[in-house]
Amino acid sequence: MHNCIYSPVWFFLFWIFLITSFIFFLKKSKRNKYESDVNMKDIVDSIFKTQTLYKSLKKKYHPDRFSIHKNKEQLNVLYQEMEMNKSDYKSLTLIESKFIETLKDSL
Amino acid sequence: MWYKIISILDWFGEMKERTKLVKDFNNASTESFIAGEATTLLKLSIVSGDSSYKHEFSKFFGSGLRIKALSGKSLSRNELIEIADIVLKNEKLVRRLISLGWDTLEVHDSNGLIGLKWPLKKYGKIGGLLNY
Repeated sequence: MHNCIYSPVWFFLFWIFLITSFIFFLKKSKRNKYESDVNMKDIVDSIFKTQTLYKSLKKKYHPDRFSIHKNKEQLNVLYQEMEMNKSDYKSLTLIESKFIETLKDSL
Repeated sequence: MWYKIISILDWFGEMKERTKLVKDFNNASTESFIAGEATTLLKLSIVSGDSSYKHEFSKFFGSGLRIKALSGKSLSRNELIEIADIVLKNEKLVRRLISLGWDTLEVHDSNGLIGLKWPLKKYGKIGGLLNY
């Protein structure tokens, strides 16, 4: 009995068990890894481009310029949205396209 | 024994994510600098943070993040605040930084002597009641 436990077969099986369990935990840790949704390119762009874009949008689409416009409420909402996201370049570009679309529709 | 292996793997995973974040930022800033979109070159590095800004998940070593702006001139206080504002107003990024063990954000100009620092805990909007 004693010889059976310390036989090379058991030793071999024990090592196989250790290695497979280690691989299993490695894979599990990889699966759980948090995938980042923060794009660094956007942040760097925001640092350098937001100020100029925000200033130009502020001048272009100020609510006072569209006081008698057909879609003035919609434009006001967009302006407020722009004020809220003034430090995010990506959302500012999206808002700019929305501004252009609403002004196109009103023509 | 297993829990020790898991904790070691977790530690390595976290370190990898920390270095990846720093690398990503540095690559993005150099690319935009080379392309001519950015006027100054920004460099992110891990430093020892302020001990008064520590929180429950902050690392013992390297709990600070420093953004160094390599411009030709020394930047004014407002310019430094503008750079930091972009990072601090991005709530997702701040929460990610907190979860990876950072607690301080520093912004320095090219001289490296004058700089400002902010506690990340303040800008993560942590706390309050849980929503069930």
